[in-house]
Amino acid sequence: MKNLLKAGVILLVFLLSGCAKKDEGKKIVIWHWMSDRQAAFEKLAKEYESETGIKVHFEALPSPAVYSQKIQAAAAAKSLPDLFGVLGGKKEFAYFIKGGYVENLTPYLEENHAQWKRKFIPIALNFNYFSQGNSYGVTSGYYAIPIDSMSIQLIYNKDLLKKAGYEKPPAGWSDFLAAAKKVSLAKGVYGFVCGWGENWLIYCLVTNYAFNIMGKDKFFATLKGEVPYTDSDWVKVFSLFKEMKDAGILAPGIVTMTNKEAEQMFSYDKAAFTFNGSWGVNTYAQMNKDLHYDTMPLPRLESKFVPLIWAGAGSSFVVNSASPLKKEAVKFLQWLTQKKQQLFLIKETRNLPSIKGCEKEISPNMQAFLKNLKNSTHPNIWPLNEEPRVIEAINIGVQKMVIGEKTPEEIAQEVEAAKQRALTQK
Amino acid sequence: MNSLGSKEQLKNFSFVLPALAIFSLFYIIPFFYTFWLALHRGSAIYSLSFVGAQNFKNIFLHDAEWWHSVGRSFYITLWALSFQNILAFLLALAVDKAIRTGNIYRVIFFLLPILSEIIIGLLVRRLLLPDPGVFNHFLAKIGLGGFARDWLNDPNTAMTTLALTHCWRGFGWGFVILLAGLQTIPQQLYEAARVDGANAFQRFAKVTLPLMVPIIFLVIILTILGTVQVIGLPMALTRGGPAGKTTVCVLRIYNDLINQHAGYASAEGIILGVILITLSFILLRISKKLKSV
Repeated sequence: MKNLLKAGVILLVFLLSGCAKKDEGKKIVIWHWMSDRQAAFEKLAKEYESETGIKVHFEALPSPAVYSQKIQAAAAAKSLPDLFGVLGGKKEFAYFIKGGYVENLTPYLEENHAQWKRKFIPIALNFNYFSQGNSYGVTSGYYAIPIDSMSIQLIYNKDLLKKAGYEKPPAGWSDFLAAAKKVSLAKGVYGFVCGWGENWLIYCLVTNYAFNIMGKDKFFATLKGEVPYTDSDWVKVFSLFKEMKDAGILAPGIVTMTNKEAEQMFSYDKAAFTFNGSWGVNTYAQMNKDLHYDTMPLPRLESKFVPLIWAGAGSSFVVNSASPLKKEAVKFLQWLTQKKQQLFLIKETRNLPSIKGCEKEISPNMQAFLKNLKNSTHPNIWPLNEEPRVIEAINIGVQKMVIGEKTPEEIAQEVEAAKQRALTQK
Repeated sequence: MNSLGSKEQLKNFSFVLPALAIFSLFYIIPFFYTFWLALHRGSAIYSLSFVGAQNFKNIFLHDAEWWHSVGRSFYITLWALSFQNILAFLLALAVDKAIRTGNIYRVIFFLLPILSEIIIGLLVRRLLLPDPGVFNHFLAKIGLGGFARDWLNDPNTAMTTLALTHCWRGFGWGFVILLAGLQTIPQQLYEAARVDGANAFQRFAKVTLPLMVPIIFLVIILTILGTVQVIGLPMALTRGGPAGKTTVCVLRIYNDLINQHAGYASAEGIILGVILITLSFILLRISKKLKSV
């Protein structure tokens, strides 16, 4: 009986010790959610150890959801690793910074005449930047280092467009509609496909064109609540989706389609245009090696403003401000963002680099996603963001329009009502 | 004697301590944490601000979409209670008669419920998608091409398609429980009824049905609890679309959670829990009354 009791106590101590922070010695510990990149990370860790003698341990967590919960719990228990990533929007990131869990990396980036900082693709680095007087109440600075980058662009199938008589992609909105319509005359081929079942892709396209139609100032004034969504410019933005529907260019089932399904459809030469992120390169390569595609600037509407695409950091790492290996962790990040390591990561993971100067050494398909970044933006670098309930109303509203339930004017009213509710609750 | 007793008690307590610790950690603490969270705005521990009963007030007074999502869950439940359970009962009655082959049917009908909702959802989605349109093609082949449509994206059919898929996946549960119930009815009762001249329908109405009342109510309660909490199927089948038309209440709670409204989602979860507990309680009372009659 006594032995059984002892065994029980030992088991309990063993179980509970798993929750406690382990003494990792001089080893840099990194938590991440990118299990598909674990093998590549481990190779890099070995190389770093052979170069510097410092061990690096990458710990992959099974899913982004589990990862998010784990870092929240670890932050509360003050047991975060030396390096980690923060998932979610800028608001969540700001809470981590204000909680004192994240090191301000600006001094490291600025040292030696900003040698490290100048290496990065600006939109990728600025993704994690908090400007002076930001609405989150965070001291200005750079708080995370991007290890890769991404862009979400309009992509066209070169072969399908050529078949329809287009040597170049259309530059204007009406030309785009006409080209997509012409391509979709062929049996089983559609003009435009996108994973609009994943609502964020709708919001992304809405904001891209909102910048084109009304410009930055009016866009942000709407977010502040100073311009209503019933404004004619917003109605014009929503009308674009109706125009796409009316032109008959949308792939069937687009409103519940996942991004993966849209990627598959585009891979099999079944759609002339798609709107997708640079991560699509992976799927396209896996599904159809002979797919000929390129990115193009978003077809413009007549306006003094240009459409802005979303681009920024893909995955970023932050340094735990309480880590005893803070400096070593920063040095590892500096090493990780050197050209040799970046090219290795690109080759292994098919993600875009976060630094400049890799363009010539990557595939043409990946190069395509590094184009058009001149006119790019991202919610992460906006001075303020829209309330999730309003974004939800926009996404559902656009879907309603596509299935023919509502008009752009009715959608504008619904979105404005959601905005007013959000403002009142705030 | 006293010290020996307390020593013994301590020893006994140490045996239940691991189970108690695990139960507290994974059940009791999260249960109370949900109530605490429902009184806050925000999501993670570090971003919460106390708002009192504001989340509940917003749900009851301003959030029509939440109540629509509850309505959608109960729409599926109605299908499950009627179509799914009647189908399960009919199959259980049929298999009960052919008891030699009963085990084979049990395995066949129970295959679907043990498959993941996500797998069923993705499978059905593949069949129903307008491109390549496998199901529509099949309809055309059997001369029902006029019924072909975009089942998942048409707002008029999406919800019923989801409900029928749920019923198709779920009838095996009811079937197994109802069959087990039917097999507990003593054969002598049927023989006695037969001697008294009762026909098949009378035997069913006067013997089978009254004795099956507790089992039927158990299946009803399990159906309600299981169906109202469905999430995997709409996620895989329609992602809540088109235009939120298949966003059932648990999917809405999930969406709120990932949109950083954990406090609000907790309040929604509590309200749903109260609805389900109340319903179960009412059904149990009715079942007891019927049993006594």
